[in-house]
Amino acid sequence: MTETTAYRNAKRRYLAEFLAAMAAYTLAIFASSLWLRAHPASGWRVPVALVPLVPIVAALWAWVRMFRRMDELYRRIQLEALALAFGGTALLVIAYGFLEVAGFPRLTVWWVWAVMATLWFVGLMVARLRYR
Amino acid sequence: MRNRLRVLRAERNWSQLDLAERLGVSRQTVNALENGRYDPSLPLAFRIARLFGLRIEDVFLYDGEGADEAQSV
Repeated sequence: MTETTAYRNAKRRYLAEFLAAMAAYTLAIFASSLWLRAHPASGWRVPVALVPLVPIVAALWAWVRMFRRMDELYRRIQLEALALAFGGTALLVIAYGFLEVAGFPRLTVWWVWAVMATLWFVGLMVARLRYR
Repeated sequence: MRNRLRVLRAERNWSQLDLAERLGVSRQTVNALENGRYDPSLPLAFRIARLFGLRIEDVFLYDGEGADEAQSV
């Protein structure tokens, strides 16, 4: 649906900020991975491993700024999506916790983020349908 | 909640986009309001009514029970 100028500009700004953060993230991951592989026993392992977190925070901040520019319906849509992501992730993670006890393979924590992000996206689609 | 938004908008020959710009909300919000899928917050309800030079009760038609249907989870 075509949107108001204000909202289109807000989205454009968010996209630019988010993509810039993702580009920085890609570089950071690449650089920190290389460094960590070359210095397996350094005392700097922790800070270097966390360097990619900086562009992630930037991406998150871009989203927060976008959220602040949203009107009440868009904010409600976001919050409903996040609620679904939260609840769904809780359920799935707890379920898998039980399965691990039953012998299922241990999974890395990245799976939690993958599930959460996916459900957030699904939640947005559902919420948009409700308020179309 | 039923409302007279579409009629009032048509009387002035405004598109949904026009109304959205005048209210400072998104077009999706105007669309959802007109289709009764979303009820506005109180401040927005006042802004809408004042934009048309009316009182809230003349724009939004509250029918007592079940008026919350649009937002039931």
